[in-house]
Amino acid sequence: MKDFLHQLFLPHISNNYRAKLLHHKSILLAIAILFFAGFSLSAVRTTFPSVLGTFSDISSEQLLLLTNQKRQENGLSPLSLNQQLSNAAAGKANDMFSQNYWAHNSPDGKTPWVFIKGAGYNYIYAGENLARGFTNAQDVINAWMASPEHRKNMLSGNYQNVGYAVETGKLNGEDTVLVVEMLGSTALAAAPAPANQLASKTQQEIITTTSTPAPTAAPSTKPQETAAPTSLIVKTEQTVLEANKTSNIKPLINSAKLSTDASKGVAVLFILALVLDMVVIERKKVVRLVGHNMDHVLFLTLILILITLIVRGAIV
Amino acid sequence: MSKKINEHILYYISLIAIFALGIFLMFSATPNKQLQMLIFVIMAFFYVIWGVLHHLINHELSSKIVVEYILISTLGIAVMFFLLKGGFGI
Repeated sequence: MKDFLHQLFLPHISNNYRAKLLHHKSILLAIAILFFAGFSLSAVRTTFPSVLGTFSDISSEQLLLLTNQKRQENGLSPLSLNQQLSNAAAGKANDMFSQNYWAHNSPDGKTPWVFIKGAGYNYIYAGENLARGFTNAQDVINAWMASPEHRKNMLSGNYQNVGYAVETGKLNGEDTVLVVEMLGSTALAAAPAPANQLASKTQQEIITTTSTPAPTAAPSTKPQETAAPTSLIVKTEQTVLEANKTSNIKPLINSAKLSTDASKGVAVLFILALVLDMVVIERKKVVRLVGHNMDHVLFLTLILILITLIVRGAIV
Repeated sequence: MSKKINEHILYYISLIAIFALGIFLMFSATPNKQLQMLIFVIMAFFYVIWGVLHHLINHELSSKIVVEYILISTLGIAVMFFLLKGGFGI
């Protein structure tokens, strides 16, 4: 084993003064294995989605808890989970998957407010935050809080209710997890929002008494939460959310994490071999006709940076 | 080793500039992973061109070195392919 590793990583007379891993045949073998593994993982994902697939550890409860923590830190009242807003969020997520878009407005001009009204939530204030590609709730909240527009939505005193949807599907040819947050209130909030808390039109809508939607557009049923006790609503909503969760297949292995870790491992392995090769050859003063190891180290370091960039989530 | 790096410092600055542009383009393409893959393939192509020119200017170019740069850039493409096809199903 020691000899094998020595051959693989250190230049020596026995490997023609070039680490075995850096021989053309070895690199070619690594390329073939990576392409084969890429196709194989993709095939397993399609054939056995319960074994390998995309999933996240994000739940509506975690998102609500973390959002309310941020609101309380900023002296705002906590939001209550609303089933109609959760339904609206799920409708929006499914619409994004079915129409293949990543935006607040659909390609056919459907705004977020259409989903909220369609779910029967008769809002005065409404807002929407979107996230994709995140693996845990804390990262989603951190990303929204780092964006001024999304932060305004999360920390607006205008909202009383919130609904979440965490859905997995294929968007722009990529398997991803979408998080939709719909915020709203059916009556003016007790604490008036400062003027600077109004987000862009794409994320927040206000209906004043002078611009109430026409009766045909407005839902005919009034939201339930104003009449029912808050604790009762939360309990009912949690039951529905749990039912939704069990209907989703959670694969045993997260393919995104597996491929990310393996890709980084391959890059690090080659960087290690190149650096060791460079140091040993420099010490032994061996003259070889090969490419500059430093060039390859920089190229592979770039790959490590890009992997980190590619796998991070996005918000809009 | 540091002497060798100093001799090639301008080449490395140009390489880092190409990479910085690539990182910017990849960042701009977020979250479109198909476009990011395409950008990376173009970057890998430019890496081979840069490597060949670097050795050509220093009068140390050989077919073996050209093959080495092609293999390393293909290895990079294979790593990205494995990440995006295997991990995200693009």
